[in-house]
Amino acid sequence: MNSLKLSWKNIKYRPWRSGLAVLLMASGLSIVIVLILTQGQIDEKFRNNLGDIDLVVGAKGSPLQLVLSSVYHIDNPTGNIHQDSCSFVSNHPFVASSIPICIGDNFNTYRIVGTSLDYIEMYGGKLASGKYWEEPMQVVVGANVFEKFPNKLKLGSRITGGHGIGNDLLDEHDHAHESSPYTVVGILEPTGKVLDNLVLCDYRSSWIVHAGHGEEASFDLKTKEEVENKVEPDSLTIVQDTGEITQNVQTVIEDSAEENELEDHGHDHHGHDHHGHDHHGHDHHGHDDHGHDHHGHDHHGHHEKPLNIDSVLTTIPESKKEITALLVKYKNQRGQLFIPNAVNRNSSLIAADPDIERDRMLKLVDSGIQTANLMGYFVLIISAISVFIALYSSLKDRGYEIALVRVQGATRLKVFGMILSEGLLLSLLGYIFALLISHVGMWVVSEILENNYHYAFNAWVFSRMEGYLLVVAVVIGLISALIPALKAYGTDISSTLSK
Amino acid sequence: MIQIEDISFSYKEQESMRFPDFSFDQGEHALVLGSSGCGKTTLLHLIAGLLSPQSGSIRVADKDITALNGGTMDAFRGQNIGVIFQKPHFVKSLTVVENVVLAQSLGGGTSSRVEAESFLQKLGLEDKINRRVTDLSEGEKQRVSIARALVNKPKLILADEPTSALDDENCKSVVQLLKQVSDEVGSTLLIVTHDHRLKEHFSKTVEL
Repeated sequence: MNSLKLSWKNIKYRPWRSGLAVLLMASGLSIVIVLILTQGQIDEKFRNNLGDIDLVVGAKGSPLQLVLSSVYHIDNPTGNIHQDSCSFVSNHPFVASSIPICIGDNFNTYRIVGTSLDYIEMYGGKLASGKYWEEPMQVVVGANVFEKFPNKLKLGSRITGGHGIGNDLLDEHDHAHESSPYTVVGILEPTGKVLDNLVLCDYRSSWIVHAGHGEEASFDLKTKEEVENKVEPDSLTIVQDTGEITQNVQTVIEDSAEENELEDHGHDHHGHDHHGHDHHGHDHHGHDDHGHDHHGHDHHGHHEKPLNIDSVLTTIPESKKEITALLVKYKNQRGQLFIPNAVNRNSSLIAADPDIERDRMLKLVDSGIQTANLMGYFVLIISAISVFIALYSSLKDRGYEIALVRVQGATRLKVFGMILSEGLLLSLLGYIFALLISHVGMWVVSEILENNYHYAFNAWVFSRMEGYLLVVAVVIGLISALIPALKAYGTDISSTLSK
Repeated sequence: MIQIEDISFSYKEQESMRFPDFSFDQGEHALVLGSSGCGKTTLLHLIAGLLSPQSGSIRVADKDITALNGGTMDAFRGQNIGVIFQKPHFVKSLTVVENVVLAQSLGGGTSSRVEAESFLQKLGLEDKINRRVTDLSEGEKQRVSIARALVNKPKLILADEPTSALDDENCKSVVQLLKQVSDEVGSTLLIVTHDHRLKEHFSKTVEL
């Protein structure tokens, strides 16, 4: 029987005391491990996903929110801006490229992002199958989204977007844009970046989608008010009388349907009725009809190319041509000097430097992590004390055992090592449990994040710091066992046995 | 085999104790009798090398153990001296047989569970092998401590009041076991006690 086995038996013999020490050690270590892993991955995610963007232009609001929503696709957008209000940025001589971003709709909680093909290129996205979109209402699907819904998102399938994103997700059945289905034309390879969690389409798609819905076109009340306050009296009537727009659209739909010699006129007329008269009442019958069609995968002629995209686009008034943000890349350094100022002079726009915002956010995150880290180390100190107490108090009723073991031939050094290895075993156990707790915990949190934000952490990566923590655990075990071990070392056998 | 000459010992700030000289050959059984407080346990600790005498010499197995220090003494004791205490103590986290195996490995020899088990069987403890030591009766505990002291076949067995906690029947059987097993192993047996019940079993006695 070696002393390691003996130590193990002694630990097992006092399960509560040992368990507490192990639990505390595991808690402290797992807090530190989780923080190391999350910090590393947050840093990596936020650096990776920045892409090649120098400036984000969006609706007035928090610049951090703008960057989070338009670059990282976490937060809600600050609002929408008119396409022409920022055209001066796109046309600016110091701007190399500008990518429009339209967000506000989702496909089964995954964001549908209206943008240009440059966006995919910026993140190094490559097609796994299919092609890029050639016109609005065609979507290219990110790898993770496809993986989640491989059947719904096959090439050529039609999907409908739900209104809202993230936490403000509205009930899909109340607000789904079922009259304007998207067609899946391409699927992207995984990039490890935010692109994987997006459904991408031409930015003008959302104009068409929302043209059919009139007052739901705006993403939130603020922008709607802005729109109402800003537009000319003429167009104001259009905004208020949403039926008129939809009728225009509907006429086009009819026209194009006739052009394409599609049958199903009944459906067309039905749709006409629905949009023309019952818009405010949300004709649920119509919705149900479409819903059943969709879910039953029974695509009637009605759904087959009902729109002539170009003609629909011409019916959309300028005031409705909104985007959420513009991602800008400067041509040269001078852009940085002039463009943010120029943008911020416009009262409805704001320019956010994603580098600055990211650093600001990481600094906030870091200080949170630092605080939590301190807590972790505090728990580690407590755990060291508990290992000490577990060993020291067990020595009290084991004094005789120590003397006994010495009588049987164990040297002072041997009993010293015996107690030390008990401390070591406790801390190693704590470390093993910490690895389990932290990685399983990360996995659980990652699932939650994945579901809520589509931001997943990899719970099964191991940091080199975890190796260092093993050393920390061993040192804690040894240090807290040192005094009890010295006490065992100094045991006077004769007087202990005479007691 | 064991030879004690002119030894004295004193605890801190106490009058020094003197002990009579005696010597025994290998395989002899002897009793050291004395009333409480006359230094019986001190003498046993001196012989076991747990205490060092102020003067005099103690030879065990032809070695002057007063000259041995620290680790050497521990190793020597583990190999050559088996000790049985008045109240048997064990490593509580271990089972009966594990305590015996521990004694084997601490004694520096190879530890063999089979040998430990056969030793326990010899002492009538075959059904207690895997029990916790705390579950045993006093008589059984004392028998386990005999097994533990003898498993390494030491040259000298020291027993400190091994029977004082036992009733007559147990006392008799423990003494007989002690004598029998030490005969088998060939050890010298030295029992330090105030228990006069033992007198009849031993021909050689030393009075303190």
